Amino acid sequence: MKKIILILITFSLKIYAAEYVVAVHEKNPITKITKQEITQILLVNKTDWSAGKPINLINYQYDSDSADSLFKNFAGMTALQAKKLYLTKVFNGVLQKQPATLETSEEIMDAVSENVNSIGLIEKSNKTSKAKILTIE
Amino acid sequence: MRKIICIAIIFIVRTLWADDDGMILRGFADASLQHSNLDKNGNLDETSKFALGGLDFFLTKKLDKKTDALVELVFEQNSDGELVTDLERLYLRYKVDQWLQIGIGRFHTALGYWNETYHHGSYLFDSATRPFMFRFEDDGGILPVHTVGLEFVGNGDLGGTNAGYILHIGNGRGLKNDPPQTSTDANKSKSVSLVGYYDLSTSVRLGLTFNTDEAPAGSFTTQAADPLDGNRVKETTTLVDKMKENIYGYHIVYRSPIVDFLGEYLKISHKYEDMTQTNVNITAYYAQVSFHYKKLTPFYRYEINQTDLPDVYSGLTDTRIINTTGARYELSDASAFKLQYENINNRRSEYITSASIAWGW
Repeated sequence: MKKIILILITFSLKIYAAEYVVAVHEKNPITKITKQEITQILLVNKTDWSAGKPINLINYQYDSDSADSLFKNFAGMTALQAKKLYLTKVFNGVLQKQPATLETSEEIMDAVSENVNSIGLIEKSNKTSKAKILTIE
Repeated sequence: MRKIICIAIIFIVRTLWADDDGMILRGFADASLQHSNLDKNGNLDETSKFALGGLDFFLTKKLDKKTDALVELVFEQNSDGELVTDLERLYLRYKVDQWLQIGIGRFHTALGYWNETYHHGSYLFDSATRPFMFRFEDDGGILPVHTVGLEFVGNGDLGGTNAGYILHIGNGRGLKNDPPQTSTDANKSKSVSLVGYYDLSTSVRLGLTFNTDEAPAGSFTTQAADPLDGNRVKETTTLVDKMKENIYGYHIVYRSPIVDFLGEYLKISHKYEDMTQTNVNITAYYAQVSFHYKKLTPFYRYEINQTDLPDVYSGLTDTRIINTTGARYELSDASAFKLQYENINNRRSEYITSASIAWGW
């Protein structure tokens, strides 16, 4: 039994190898962000920026490998679990609507550059955008 | 007629509230095929039936930067096939900051994890049915799962991780378990319900629950078909004692990409203060484990509801052990198929096999 529990814990704590950066609007005063803050934003435990403005989260589409890997890495859950979590938060009145989802990193960066309160977590790429790119500390 | 009025209300509210924010009428629904070894009266007789679950509509609206409102209406059919409409939730909530939001209206009582998190949203949980201890008041439930009153809720960073609380002060219990007291309060005392939780990590949550309330003494009359003469209606008057209720409990939630675990324990004390001077102690708990494999989620749940004496108020008379096992499969982005076998052991063994589809939008 102990062995089974250890195996399950090991798998659940597995680090999924992929590099991510954070895209925010160029007028967002934030200059650095920690992995812990990212986790709290993805889990909707943190819903406002420090200035009190609501955080507008934009995710990859939940049926994509990018979303699955990202949520496993930062939120300890699959993209499917995250989708259900967001629906639960909407049902409980914590969220007005589920975070928007887009297919590619470029689309997420473009969407972030259009809304000052937006944030998107994307796979590291060399593509340029109007969005401000932050590395995760 | 009532059905038409309710649907009209939903669409009027929807229309009035609609704005550029793109507010959507959200909801959940489910339908199932069930096979049981008992009929609806509890007699040994194998029965199969198709059944509609509740049709749950809810609307949320941000009125301004600090204020939001929610309306939730559920349409259900009772065992006689009559449509029953329940105003499940209706509240206005003002956000002072992340640690303090104040609401007024009707809420899902702060009682453990399941009641607040899933409640009517069958699409949100893996099993086809909720644990017995969290059944609704009008479905033989033993807990006060709805509260009308005030809500104080908050969460935030505490020592580097997330923590939060939900506090309800409301009308509490009436003369009988159902319905919840929505527009009257039969006694002066108010119910207090509190849930506090702390996330040890992104995977593990620990929570504590406390509820206290007082139900008044009095009598109520119920009507039912006379078993000796089906054409007659028989009236029964029940006398109830003043009852002091205390509920304590805790919950553990573990979530990972591979396995989820939910465990909740509640100790319910009913102290009847007038004629009988009886203390009834009820213990209710469940443990549920789910495994994730792509779109498939097999699960198993074990639960016990036991009382040391027959309890007049909740209607729990003996020990009830329930084993539930099954699997959920994601059919699409917004629907899931669930196959479940449920075995209930109390005075006689009952099993229910069900195949259901739940969806949400």
